[in-house]
Amino acid sequence: MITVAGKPFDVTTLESAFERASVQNQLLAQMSQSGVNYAFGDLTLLKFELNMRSEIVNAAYALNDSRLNFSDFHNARCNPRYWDRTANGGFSLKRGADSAAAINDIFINGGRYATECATAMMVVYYKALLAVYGAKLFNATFPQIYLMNWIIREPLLYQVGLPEKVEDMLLGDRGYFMNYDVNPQTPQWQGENVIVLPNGLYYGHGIGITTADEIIASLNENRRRNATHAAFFTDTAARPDFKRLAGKQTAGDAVPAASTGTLVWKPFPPPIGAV
Amino acid sequence: MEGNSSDVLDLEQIRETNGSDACISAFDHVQRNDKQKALELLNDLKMTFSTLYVLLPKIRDLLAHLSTRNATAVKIIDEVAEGVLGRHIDLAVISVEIYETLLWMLQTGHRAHALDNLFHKVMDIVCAVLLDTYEEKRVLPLVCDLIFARKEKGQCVHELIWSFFRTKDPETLRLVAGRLESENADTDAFARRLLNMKDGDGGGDTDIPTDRAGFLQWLEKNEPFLFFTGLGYQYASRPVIWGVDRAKMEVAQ
Repeated sequence: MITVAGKPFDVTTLESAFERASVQNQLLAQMSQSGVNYAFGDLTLLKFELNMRSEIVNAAYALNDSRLNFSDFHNARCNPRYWDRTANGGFSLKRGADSAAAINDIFINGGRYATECATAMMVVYYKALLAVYGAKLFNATFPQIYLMNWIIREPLLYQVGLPEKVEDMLLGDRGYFMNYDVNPQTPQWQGENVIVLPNGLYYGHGIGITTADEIIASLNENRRRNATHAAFFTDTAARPDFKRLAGKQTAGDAVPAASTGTLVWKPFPPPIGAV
Repeated sequence: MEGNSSDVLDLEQIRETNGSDACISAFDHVQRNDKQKALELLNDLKMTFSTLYVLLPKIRDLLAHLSTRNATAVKIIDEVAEGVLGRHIDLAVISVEIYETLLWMLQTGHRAHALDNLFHKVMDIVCAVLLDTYEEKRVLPLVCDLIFARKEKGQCVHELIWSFFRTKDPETLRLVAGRLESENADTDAFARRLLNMKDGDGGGDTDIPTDRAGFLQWLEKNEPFLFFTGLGYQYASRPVIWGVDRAKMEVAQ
């Protein structure tokens, strides 16, 4: 069920705001029919999450079309116009580079980039936020971006690195297929991070957009000899902190369009011990 | 035929002190003047994998004359470089020759951190195959050293960590605990993160003691109830790599 401000929410009052078969309406149906209480403080927060999830799905489709190459961290590469490649195979936004342009560049010039599945998920999240926030707010919110697996230095996105057990897999969730018996020669196939898409499909960088069975089959092809465990879909999902991200948008809307000075806070330093 | 060990050690010294280019130059000089001598240097038992790796571009035409160990190592490098399993060598097959080569590669290569990405990838695969295919846990200390040395240099450690803990051996936790209370604050913090100790980020297990002696005592007591998940940093920023099966513990008590 869906509750807004503590009261059961009638989804029919919102359905007409979106196209009939849209991700948003599919989510409304899924959430309202679930035994889980999807509680939102107000309607704005519900709409934000619906739209954000829709943009996550859109970003997943777009990244799949981008020709972004798959590689392990040792072979990772990026466009030096916008990104510095770090020693561990991550991408750090170049000083002075436009964050929105840098994220878009991954989609426009995907062939100049190569990375693994977890980093690709972070690219999806940033692209979705760019779509939701617009370039101005996006640049102000994320003046520094570091893309490296689940090493997340941006406090607003910490939650996407922390999967939890869930009752429902929702469109736009980040799921994980685990390959327990992976071949030690191909550690990159130890699992596959995916975005849950409509129609029973998943996007995973390196495999593409396909069904769970196909993903499992791909992973199973990369197991050690005499493997006994098949790859499987875990019952956990990672979700952004939609409420906190929505708050940024609300605060961003309150900024006068013609502000003459911008206070840009330095991002927090990375947590000590972050891998 | 074995070479003069002191010459090989000179080559090693040049590589460590003056870098790869200087090492290649020194070897080139020998090769131009005396090909046989160059071959003897390569096949010397004291040759290290790091130096062999550095010299590889210069010795492709000598491959047919390399020792079994060196030739096998070159096949492993090429196998990893091309990423097509079984093209150069079948690492899934249990073989004394391959095992001894892998061991040599790790033992003599694990201290070389200034080499390129392919070298690091080769080392990752060497560790993974030794630990998984050969279940050679005596190399755990070396792998632990490699993890922390690379971490200190900001290099990629995710696959190494995954291979290390994939052994499901409690010795891995003891080895990491050896890094606790290091003078290097980042090393200490990294060890704490791997041991799932409570930290300022709100993560970690409050039941796990945060000092080395306390942790080792706790580990000894809880060792029969440990589990390892096989998860790594590809899955999450704070993966549950290992834990204590409390239900099993309660049954036992």
